[in-house]
Amino acid sequence: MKLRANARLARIGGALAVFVTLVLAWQLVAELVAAKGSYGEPLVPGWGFLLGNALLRMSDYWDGSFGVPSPAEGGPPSYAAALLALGDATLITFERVVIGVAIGMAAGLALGLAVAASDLVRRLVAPSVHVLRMTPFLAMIPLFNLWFGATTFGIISFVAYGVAVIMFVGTVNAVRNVPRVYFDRAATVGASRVVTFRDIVLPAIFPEIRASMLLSFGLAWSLVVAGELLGAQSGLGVIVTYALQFAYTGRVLIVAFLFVLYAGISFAAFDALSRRIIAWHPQTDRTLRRI
Amino acid sequence: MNVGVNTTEPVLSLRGLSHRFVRNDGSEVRALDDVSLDVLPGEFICILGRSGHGKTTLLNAIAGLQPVERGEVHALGRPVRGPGTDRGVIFQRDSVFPWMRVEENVAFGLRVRGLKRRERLGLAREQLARVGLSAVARAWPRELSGGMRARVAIAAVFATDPPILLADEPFGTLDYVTKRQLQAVLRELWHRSGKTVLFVTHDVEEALMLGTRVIVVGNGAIAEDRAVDLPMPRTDDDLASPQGLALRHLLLRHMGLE
Amino acid sequence: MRRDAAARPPLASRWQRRGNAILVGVAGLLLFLFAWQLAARALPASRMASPLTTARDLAVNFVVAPRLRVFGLGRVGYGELLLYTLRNLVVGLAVGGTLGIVIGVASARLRLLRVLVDPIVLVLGTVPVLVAAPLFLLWFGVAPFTQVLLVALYSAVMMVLFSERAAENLDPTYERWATTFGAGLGARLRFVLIPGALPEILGGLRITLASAWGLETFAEILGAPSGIGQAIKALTNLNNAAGLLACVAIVAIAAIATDMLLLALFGRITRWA
Repeated sequence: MKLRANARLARIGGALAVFVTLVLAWQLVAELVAAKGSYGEPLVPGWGFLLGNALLRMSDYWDGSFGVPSPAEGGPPSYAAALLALGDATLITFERVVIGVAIGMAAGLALGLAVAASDLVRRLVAPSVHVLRMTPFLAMIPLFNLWFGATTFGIISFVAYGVAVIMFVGTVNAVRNVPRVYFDRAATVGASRVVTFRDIVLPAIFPEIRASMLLSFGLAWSLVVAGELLGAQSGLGVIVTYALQFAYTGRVLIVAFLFVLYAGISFAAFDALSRRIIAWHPQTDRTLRRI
Repeated sequence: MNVGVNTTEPVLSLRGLSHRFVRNDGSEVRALDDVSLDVLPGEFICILGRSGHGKTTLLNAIAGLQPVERGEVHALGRPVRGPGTDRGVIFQRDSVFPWMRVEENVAFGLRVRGLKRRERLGLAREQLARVGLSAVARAWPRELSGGMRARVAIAAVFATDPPILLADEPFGTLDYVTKRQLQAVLRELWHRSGKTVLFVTHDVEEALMLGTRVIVVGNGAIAEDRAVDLPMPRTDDDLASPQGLALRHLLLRHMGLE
Repeated sequence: MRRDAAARPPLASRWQRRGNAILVGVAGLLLFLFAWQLAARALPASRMASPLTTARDLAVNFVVAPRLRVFGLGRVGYGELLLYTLRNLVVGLAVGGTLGIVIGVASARLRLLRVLVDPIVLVLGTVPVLVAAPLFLLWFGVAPFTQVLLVALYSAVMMVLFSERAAENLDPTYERWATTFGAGLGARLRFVLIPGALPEILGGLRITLASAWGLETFAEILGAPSGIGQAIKALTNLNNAAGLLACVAIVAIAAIATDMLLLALFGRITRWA
């Protein structure tokens, strides 16, 4: 017991130490690098600048609702407007992730199970799936922009597509990996296809499906970020697009930080939730001591 | 291999070995309970016992792979602090490296020791001949059967010539015929080398076939420690003698089968 | 029963089965092209082009693509642009990947290193690497270095994760056996850990390569002096569906080809598995 608690403390302590070191190192680099971008903003902004100027100026993107004045209409920049603007953008981005993931996972899972049921269908579909899977998702963003325009619908479609492909491949593999003996056993007791599917296939593939879900959830965030960076009209990514034109490094960094934060937290939540459900996966041997 | 001039000096001695494990649910398991033991050079000790009663823990403690809470293990007069080349180990699971050819596997211990390629491969091939695997010296372990891989493991351990050999149910996963063949191989190698062997098994027949001495481990403690006064090399008839049968019944009783 | 034995169909010979597999494979490929063709029929020409049109565009523009001259890319064709992409990819992957493998395997066994590496790698996942792309553009400008750095960073992070896991997944029995022969940490790394974990590590490298193709293309679309991503950007601005599809197709073909190459190469290296 003690060993495990110690190991956890060491990990948390280590993470904290690394985090603090990085924060300090960043400030150091910011002090040393005095270069400025073409519109006067430092290329490596220190923490003071980030939390002061950069964050404050986010209020530029606020449209003036809720009684909080917008700088675009002549009002003063304020943290309230900045936070509201960021919050609004966050909601838009989150919406895209959530809806895209939901549609993609459902489609990928359903199609995967359907195809995995027949060996012939699977083999017929395999070349198409291979091509779609090997075509880099990020390279297809302009294609989706061409088809749907750089709209929320377009980004959701893109995310759903990527998630569906990953889930599909994962599902088909999971079903193929179910040990043959399970099916033999079902056959010897005369189980129907429905019963076999429900009581054997579904529980047996759960760990692998969960792994695919985690993978595609992480991917979904990447797809949203990339999609928004390449031409969206709203959301967090578009702030970066504007900021790039003026070399507003500070704003790029803030959005970058937010993306990492959101992706990390939602992923951790998704992970913890799904871990609760799956209690019976055997642990691998961890007996070798480390130095 | 001679171990010292004074043959009554124990080659292995355990004093008060105790160890507890904590299970996942928090409960404690007393894997070893104050175990003390002396092993004389040249003995072939079979450690018998039911699953979970501590035989593997005992072997791992002697091998230096498992630190114990209390007690001391001395091998060749020196305290055991970790694995060492004086104690060769044959594992229960496949330990032969799949990424090395058979002869490279057998030569591994020699390579660690720093022997040159030609020398160590020559010694390896000698060992392979002794276990009857000369034909597959350049094969990949993947291409071999379980029994052949067990032979490779034996050859590898004998290649470095350790005075003490520890075996943890090495033939447990093999079929009856292969098991009997490998028992004969091991017995022959032991007889010619004069090594001291500690052989963990849950198979009563195997213990009677191989051992000069049988130790039964129950609940982490030594429940029985008997010399096996049957002739060597042993045949099935020897096991069927009155002495053999009496010993067999005794062991079966300890295993809970009678 | 003899009757049952006669009723069962004869087992297909190895050649029959192989021929069968090829047939199904070809059928599958035709199915893909057929679906593509249908989509091209259903959608307007500004949004989609048929397989044939795409192939023609690819062939015509491979050596020189006159359309792209306007975008400051010089007198190039898709092929030369792809070469730029490939070169950046290979350099980034090689540098970052090697670094990642070494660090990953080592930190699987050295707790101190692990405690330092894990939080960094966890933070530097895929999402941050993507947001680093515009940042690097600001800092290092529109140069090959920017893209190579991005790919290298991504490769290093991915390979640390894959290598750590590969080293952890290796059956500990192998290392234990090695210790009984007197092998220290160095010998264990060299003779057990790295060769043993190699199949999984190389598998991870293949996966990293597949994603790196997308990352490099993406970085080029954001801003680069050359590369297939720039072609994609240009053709998007021109609303040229056939050209866009041709470029995406060429990236896909290249990704599949490099993947198959690595598969063959790595299969040879780990033929013992």
